[in-house]
Amino acid sequence: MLRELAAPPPPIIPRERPPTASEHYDIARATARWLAQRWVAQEQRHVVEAPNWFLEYEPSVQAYLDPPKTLQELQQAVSTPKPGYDIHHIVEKTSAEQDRFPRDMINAPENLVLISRFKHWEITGWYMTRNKDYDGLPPRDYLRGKDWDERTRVGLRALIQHGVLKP
Amino acid sequence: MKRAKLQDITVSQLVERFTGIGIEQDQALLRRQYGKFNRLFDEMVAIEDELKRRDGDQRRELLSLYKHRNAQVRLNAIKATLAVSPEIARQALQALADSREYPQAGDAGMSLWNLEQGIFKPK
Repeated sequence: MLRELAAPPPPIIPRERPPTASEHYDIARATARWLAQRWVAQEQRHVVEAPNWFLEYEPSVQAYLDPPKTLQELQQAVSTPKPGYDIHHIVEKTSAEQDRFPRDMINAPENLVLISRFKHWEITGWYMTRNKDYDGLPPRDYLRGKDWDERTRVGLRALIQHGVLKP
Repeated sequence: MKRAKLQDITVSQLVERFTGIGIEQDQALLRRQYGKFNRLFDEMVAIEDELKRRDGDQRRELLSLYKHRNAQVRLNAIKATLAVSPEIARQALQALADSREYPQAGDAGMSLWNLEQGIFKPK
């Protein structure tokens, strides 16, 4: 039960709790995506009303609507985790581990930021999916063998382009 | 759809399948089905190759998808036409990057950056 004044219509949130967590997340992400496109300014914010089962996903939806923050803000937030947010590695953890970068480098405070869970999933998805930019390779594979600085540059740019980090 | 079969179908059927792939990829991203996304990517590239092979490079037909309501369809069409219509495609890529239609807006922004860096070389 969403309320929105303008078309196109919002995603449907069923009153009955769907059976699987995967379905809950699909609905929550679709709702977050729909809201994000309309979340231009404080005064234009839209009201979301939802059945009880949806309330546990509200922090994730809210977090998705965060405006971009500074790198310092995102790094400092790691020490105070909260619902709807995940710790994200600027230099992607999986490919860094595959290339045997030291764990203390991968998990260093400089490489960690606290970001919206759904944004974290979107950026991870970008890393894992094939992309014409890199001759059809997923960015994760493109970065194999690249140095730390190049990975950092890509990681920061991905945060900027996905609306998490201030340019 | 196998390559041999792609050769037998019309341009408009190829564009229709290209559109369907974008919609399925969008759902796959939403559901974090990255393996499915990647399989669809291969099929999409095969369609682009077939359109390119047709008389006069028929990838231009994908320009009609720039106004599609699905952001993944638009993103795929823009990237597929960068080589045949670079200026219009770059403008469309910028518009998508600015649209807040994530995750495609993020991918579009990365593509602009990769074009500037010379990493992305449309063929």
